Amino acid sequence: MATNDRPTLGNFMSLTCFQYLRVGTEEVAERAPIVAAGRKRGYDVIESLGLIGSTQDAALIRDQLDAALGIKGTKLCIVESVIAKPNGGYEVRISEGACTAGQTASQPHCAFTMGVFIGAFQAITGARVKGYETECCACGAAACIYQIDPV
Amino acid sequence: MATRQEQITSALDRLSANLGNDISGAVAVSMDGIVLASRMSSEVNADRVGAVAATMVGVTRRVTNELKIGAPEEAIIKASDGLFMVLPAGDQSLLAVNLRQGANLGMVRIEAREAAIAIGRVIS
Repeated sequence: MATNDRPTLGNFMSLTCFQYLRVGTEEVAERAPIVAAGRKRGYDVIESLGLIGSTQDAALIRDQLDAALGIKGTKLCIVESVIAKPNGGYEVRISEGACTAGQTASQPHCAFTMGVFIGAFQAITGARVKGYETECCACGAAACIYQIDPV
Repeated sequence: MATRQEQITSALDRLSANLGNDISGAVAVSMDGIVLASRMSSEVNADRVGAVAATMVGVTRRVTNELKIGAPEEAIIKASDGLFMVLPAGDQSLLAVNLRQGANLGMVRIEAREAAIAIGRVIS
């Protein structure tokens, strides 16, 4: 069966439609399905990069994630930094994230984008990880910062 | 001292022991759908069940909020070959329990609520 390859419109669509999908889903079912979608995306990115179970250093992981997700990739966000933490987790700093584009909120807002990094680091480390957001552009911060820690 | 994960796993083990043949698995999950500890059988994808269970709690909270009937205490799916029960465990996590057909729901509710309280205390 032929697939729709969007020969005219190409691979990208407006953030407006992304925000309606994300915010609309959260209004019905809260964050979990959005985080789950992000985790799946993050895991698949790492798999496509051949980094499953790898032990590469944080700077190299940042470079590869930024290539996949940043301006030369799907444009989800700019991966500013990835810092390894003593507990085996990572601190991720991103800017221009799709989740916060044009959004203001009193609570951290990056369910999908943070989910991508949870899935990515679960794939990289092979361990179960959780995430929480310590700073968020939707709340007025200069960047969104995620703490990805072992469960 | 036991780690958080060991304490949560211990609560799941107590639940399994107290419910005997009525229960076929249990999993503690964050509200974002991240599995914190699992006692699901190897045939079940605990990660996927965790995401679905968290979504169930999210939908349930939206429903109860829309209907103005207070905070949800549990959600149960009864299927042809078993039951699936989800209940909040504090305000940051939840407990999902997979039950066999014919399970004593009265006993399950009592034991599951106790386990959920124990898990909620560990997470908070």
